[in-house]
Amino acid sequence: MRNFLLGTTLLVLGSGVAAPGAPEVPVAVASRRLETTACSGSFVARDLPHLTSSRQQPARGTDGDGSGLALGDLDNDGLIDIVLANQNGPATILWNQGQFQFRKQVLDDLHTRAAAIVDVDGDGWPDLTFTHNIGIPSLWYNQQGKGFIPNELPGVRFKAYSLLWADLQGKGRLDLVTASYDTLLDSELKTAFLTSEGAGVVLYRPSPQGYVPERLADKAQGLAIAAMDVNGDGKADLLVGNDFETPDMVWLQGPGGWKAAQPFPRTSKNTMGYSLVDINNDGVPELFSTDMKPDFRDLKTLAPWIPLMQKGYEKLTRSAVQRPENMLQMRSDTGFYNAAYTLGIDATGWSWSAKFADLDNDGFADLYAVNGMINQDLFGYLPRAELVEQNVVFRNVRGQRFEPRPDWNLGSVRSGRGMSMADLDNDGRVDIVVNNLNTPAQVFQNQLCSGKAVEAELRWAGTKNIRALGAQAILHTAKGQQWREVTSTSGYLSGDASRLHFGFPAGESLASAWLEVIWPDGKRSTVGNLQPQTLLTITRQEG
Amino acid sequence: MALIGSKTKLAELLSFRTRRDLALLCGAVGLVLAGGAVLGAGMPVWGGTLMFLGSIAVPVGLKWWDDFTRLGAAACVLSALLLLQGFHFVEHGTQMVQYYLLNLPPAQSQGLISALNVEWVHFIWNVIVLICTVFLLRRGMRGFWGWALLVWTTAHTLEHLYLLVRYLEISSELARLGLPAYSVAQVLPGVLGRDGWLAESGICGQIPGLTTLPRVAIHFGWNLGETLLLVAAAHRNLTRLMYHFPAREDKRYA
Repeated sequence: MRNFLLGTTLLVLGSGVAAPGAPEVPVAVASRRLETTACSGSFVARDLPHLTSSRQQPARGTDGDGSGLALGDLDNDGLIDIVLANQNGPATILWNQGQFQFRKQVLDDLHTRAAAIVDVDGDGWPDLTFTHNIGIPSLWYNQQGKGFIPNELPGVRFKAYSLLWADLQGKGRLDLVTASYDTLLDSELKTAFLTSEGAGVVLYRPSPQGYVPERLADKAQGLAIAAMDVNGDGKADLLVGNDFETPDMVWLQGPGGWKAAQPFPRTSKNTMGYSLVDINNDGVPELFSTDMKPDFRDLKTLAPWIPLMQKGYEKLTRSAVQRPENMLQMRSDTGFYNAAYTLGIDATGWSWSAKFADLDNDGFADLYAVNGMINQDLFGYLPRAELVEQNVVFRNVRGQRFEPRPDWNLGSVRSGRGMSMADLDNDGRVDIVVNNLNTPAQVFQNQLCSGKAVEAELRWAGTKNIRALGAQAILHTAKGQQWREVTSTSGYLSGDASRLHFGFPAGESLASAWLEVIWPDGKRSTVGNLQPQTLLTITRQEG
Repeated sequence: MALIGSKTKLAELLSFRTRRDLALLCGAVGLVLAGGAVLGAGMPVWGGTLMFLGSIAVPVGLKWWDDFTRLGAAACVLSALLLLQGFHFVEHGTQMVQYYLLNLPPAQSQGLISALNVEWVHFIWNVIVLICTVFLLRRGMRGFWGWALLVWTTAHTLEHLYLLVRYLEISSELARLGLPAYSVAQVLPGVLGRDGWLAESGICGQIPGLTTLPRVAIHFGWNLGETLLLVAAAHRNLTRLMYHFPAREDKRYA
């Protein structure tokens, strides 16, 4: 694979071609060709050599909640590697050898939940960070692609379940945001947790002496964290999605610090994950939150949900802000409104990680959600206490609606938890990795036949945010604007690759297309002369 | 006979006439007893409502007998249908008040006789309404409003047939899982409304109201339409219904 990459690498140094809205910041652009691979019209599932298991059989309580995973190029060989967390054992690194061959390395970090691949020290080699069942986040420094050594995050002292790395102030340094899952801490630590200082939501700022914590909330059931400009002031705001009755939390970043806000008239009740997406290619992101809601058409699937639905039937009032369903927060002149039901993506099952990517390269971001639950307390009446549900994929039809695509062969029934998407074989198609519970993890190789792609990796050289977390890229074409953002984590406990993917129909010309990059500090660059099936590495020339 | 031959005397058909004092007395007694039982003894509202209905059953029954003997079978059926559908509509109106104004959860937005808010009752009641509508059509309640009522009632009954079938299927699934009956299984979405078949099918996209309203509002709408069409059809065809089956002479109606 290395030979393949070297043979197809074309380095184009220098500023991108000027486009409307002249670039404020020069960039160097390296281009590498993406080679089309086999095409069968659907995805091909393969098992991965990793098993996340529950401690109890069947699982009880949060033991059934599984773990996440992260994607990223750990050895800078141009191939995106996989890191799988494990709530009941060691984590696994799967080094991508190309052509969906992986070399397994066991990482001696036990009981991990969330995973993120982030270049914490800014040395150009992505590091690993994990959260744990009951511990503080861990850090593994990358030894220039040859392995990892454990280290600590000085000053990071609160227990965490979910995490987010982000350049919240756009100053080229990485902040860490963590949230605890107090239900888990309560059940595991009992009195010790009740009498402790607790955990909650914590924002850690880097300093020469280590990370300085700012506690935003003392309590949390935080399964998801996102950074998003909620109020349109150009600054990243913070969102924490909570399980159960704890409301989702939003803090707006302002001159005086962080201020709590409630910008959403409705929120998911059990927010399992956040994902930022531009549904309709207007260049503006929407916020998608995952929750649990069954498909009312299939009564066999619906029946096991009835005891849980009874609770909502007895409690949920018309004016309740929290609703047990997926939500898509879209902007209007009067604020946010939920468009998930209208678009047909409010009910995806017992969903955990749900993310968007242009799976069929038609220019619109599609939705994939992984499903299932194993819990003796909730589903003791089912065989093995397992709610068996298929993962579901929905094709985005021109931003107007979403249609299920069972023919894409993504309907695994292996109780998925963590999930992320990236192009693992450099063919311009987004593949999917799922960390299941009590069954081996899976990779789904994308062999859909349509469309082409442009992919981009951003580098902010000279800063501690070298992978440009928080940078936005907008592909301007004659048919719209595809918005993407470099994020560290999204969905449920799952880390994202820093590579951005833009699909477009095969017959569509990119002659007039250009890529706009909005760096975390608000400065802009543009790149033109885009070619189909290329991977661009865009390096900012000014620190 | 003042009633016969008039197009504007629907209220008179519904009147208790000579039994008005008895009806008022029974109603008052029923209200006192039901109110005392609900407010004083903690009886559920549905129990109190049934107590009230029981107390006025005699004057209502006598009134319908009068309708039958004086005005004929069609008038009697129409009278009964108007009264019962009117009460049914009040039930749904009460649910709307409970859900929208009192902000109660669906389990507590069950109307006055919540114990009867189950799929079998809704289905049987709608079949009865459909049969009565067909009967009245055959007895002369035709014209636009009559046929519109038939179409509406048929559609409403089909929706309840769909709901009943799904209820039986889900009950079977629950039994297979060893689960008891849950009241939420009685109120699953039907053809129309949020999460209903029309919304899920994707055949027409989302239509505000038809695919977005909760069940409580959808069925209020069904019954509002049914009641209005019934009143309109009855009003336009009252004369024909009376003439179709002439009543005996009676000085009380002179």
